[in-house]
Amino acid sequence: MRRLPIYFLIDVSESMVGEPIQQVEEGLSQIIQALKADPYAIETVWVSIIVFAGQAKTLVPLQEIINFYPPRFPIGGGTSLSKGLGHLMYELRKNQVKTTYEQKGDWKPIVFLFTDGVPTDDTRAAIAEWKQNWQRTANMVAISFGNETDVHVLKELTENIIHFKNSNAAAYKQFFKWVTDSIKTSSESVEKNASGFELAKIYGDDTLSKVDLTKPIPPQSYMDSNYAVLVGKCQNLNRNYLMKYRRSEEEAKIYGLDINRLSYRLVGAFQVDQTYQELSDESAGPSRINSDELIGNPTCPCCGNQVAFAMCVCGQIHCIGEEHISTCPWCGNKGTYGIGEGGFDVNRAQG
Amino acid sequence: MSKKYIRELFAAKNITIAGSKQHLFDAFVDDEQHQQIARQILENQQRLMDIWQYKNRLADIQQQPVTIPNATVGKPYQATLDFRQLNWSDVTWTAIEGLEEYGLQYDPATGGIQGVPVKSGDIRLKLQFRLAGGDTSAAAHEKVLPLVINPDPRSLWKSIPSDMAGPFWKADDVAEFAPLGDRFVTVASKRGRSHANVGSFRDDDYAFRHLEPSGWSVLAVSDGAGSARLSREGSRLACTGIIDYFEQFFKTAPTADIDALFGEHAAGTGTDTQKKINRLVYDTLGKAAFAVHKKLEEFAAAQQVSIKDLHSTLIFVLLKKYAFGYVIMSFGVGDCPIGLLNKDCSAVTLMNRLDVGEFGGGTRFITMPEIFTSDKFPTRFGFKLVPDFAYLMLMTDGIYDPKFVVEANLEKLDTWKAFLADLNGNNPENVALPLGAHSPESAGRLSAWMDFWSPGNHDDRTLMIIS
Repeated sequence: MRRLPIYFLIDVSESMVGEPIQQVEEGLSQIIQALKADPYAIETVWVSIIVFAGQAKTLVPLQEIINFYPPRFPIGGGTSLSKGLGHLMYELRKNQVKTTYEQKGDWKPIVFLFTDGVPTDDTRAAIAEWKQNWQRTANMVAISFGNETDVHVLKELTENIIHFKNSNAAAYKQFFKWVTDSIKTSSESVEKNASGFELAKIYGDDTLSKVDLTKPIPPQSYMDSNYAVLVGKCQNLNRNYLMKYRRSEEEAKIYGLDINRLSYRLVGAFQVDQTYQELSDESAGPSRINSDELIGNPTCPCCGNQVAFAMCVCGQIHCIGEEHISTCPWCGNKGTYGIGEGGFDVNRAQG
Repeated sequence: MSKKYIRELFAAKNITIAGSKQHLFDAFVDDEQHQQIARQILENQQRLMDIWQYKNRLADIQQQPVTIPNATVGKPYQATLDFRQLNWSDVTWTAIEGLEEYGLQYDPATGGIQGVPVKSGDIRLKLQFRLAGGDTSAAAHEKVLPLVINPDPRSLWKSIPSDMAGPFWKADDVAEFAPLGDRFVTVASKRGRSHANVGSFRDDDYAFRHLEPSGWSVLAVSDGAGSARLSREGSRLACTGIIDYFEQFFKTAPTADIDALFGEHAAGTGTDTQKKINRLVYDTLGKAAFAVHKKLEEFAAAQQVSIKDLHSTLIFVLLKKYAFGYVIMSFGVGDCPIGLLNKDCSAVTLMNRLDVGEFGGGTRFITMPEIFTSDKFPTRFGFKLVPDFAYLMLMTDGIYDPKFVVEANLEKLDTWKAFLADLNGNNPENVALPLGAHSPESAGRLSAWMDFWSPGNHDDRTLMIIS
């Protein structure tokens, strides 16, 4: 029998931390569950999951869906689309079975690319390689999560760009159902020896919409990110965590001026595991944000310390509790903390 | 220990003991009551650290990813939570509740989960456990372990009868056994699961006839393309078209000349007999194929549909018994093979070249006009003169795909031997035809054999065996 390989290339940069990645994690396991209820898909579909942030890695090697075990998704720093694509092409090359006189080859692989941001690296070489070697031998669907994605880059890769408004849990549910239906129709049409790639219909609401590439795409106008994500380390457990803030604009009441003041409100703090380092691009320098723009201070998601946002003289963030003398888990510096006055600049993660 | 603690405490607090008070301080330190307080402080410190360690360890275990292999409904399952490998030597007690309803049991002594799953689902098992040093009277800790139980793929297929009132309806399952000249034909054609699942029609077809007085037998098998709307009728017309064509043809054909040519060729007496035979095969079978193509074209026009809606492959064979042996002539378009096994099954001849594409859908159909003008057209014919043969088989890709997988295997005797053994009952279902048993029951047995399970292969199945 022929396999229908499905690749998920998923952006796990810091802005995905919290709800989005949790939804993707659950969504993928729901996709697999639904596919297993389909007699065509259960015997035809093979799945692989590749994640990328500053680095890329294979989270689930290409396997039959009956062997699929829901993985835990990591988070990393940066959005290196070129490394993600490079790794995808490596996997495609490694796994592909071509039809010859002696063996039965695969159906044309389908790649679902999920991303919510702008690549933090130069993608030209990877895109050129994709165009030259893979654009015709694989089908790609690029899905932009939210409004921030660089559609200019995506349109170089594929004409199938879907915009997904990841507003709430119901939207995610609808989105993953659409992905499932697309895979189902594809696996059924390969059974019928048809072309083998049909995206499911997009139903009329604004959760999902196909990006019309015949119309000019407005230039990138999002210098300010929708999210600010800061990296901290737990003083007690020496584990990394991320603090995520969502952008919000509000009227500035100062001086009676009619101007909007940009600020970021706390979404939450999330523990990340060792893979965070592994998936982050260490060479990239952090951008900075003033702490005055950040509203809300979470507790430490690792040990429960009351203050997750304390900054050591080394410039790194860690948590503090009621201890008199704190030790910075980054640089080992000991010190006592008071309430700082005025804002200070903190390093902001890239993704 | 406690004395040391008191001294260190005072030193850390920068309390200096004047020389004159040294004696007093020594007595203070030696005081049993003070030592008791210090011991309590030390004990409490130890206790705090122990509690912290316990909580830390608990958090680690709860975060630790533990994977259990997936199970499948109906398949015996066995998995083990290997405590040593998980580094869980401090886990003193475990239990898993709610496994029974899925047909599984957990054995805390071995960490084994086993049984035969009775229903599918993505389950979040709650592993209850206690850690060494924990409070045994408190509620046990809990860790969620995902367990995936796959459904039995076979249970997912539905069998919905096709609509008998639908246009160009044909029976979902047919099988026949009949004499054919001095041989026998056993044939079955069966709707694939992919069609049964949605109640659509069988696209395969076949036809055969022994023509007297010419003595020729005509056999045809066709596979309607799954993507073509009316291919079930295309395949039927292709098969009956060939039979009808030759029925007419042999009424007027110079059969005596043809017989003489084969006679000379067998005896080695004539000149250029091979060339003449090639000409004969090319002309006769080529015209028949083209006549069928024309017929399909006319039918499409009359129905006001595109000829693409009738896309069907076609293989056919002309077979005649002579005193010196059998003459077999063949034509094929598409990916259905014709195999000829010699008398003692020690050699196999693949009578036609298959049209297979790199990705599916690369096949060719009798409905495509370009096949007749292609320079590959002459390669579609086959001719064989053999003293005798064991089996001549015509099949659609519904049989070829699961049983031969790739083209290369069609030329390997071992694969054919395995295929024959399979037909004789060497299969997981233990269903035997068997080959060579010429009885009317053969039709039903072949049909039953055709129900074999093969993952990913759910196309219509047609197999015609001349034995």
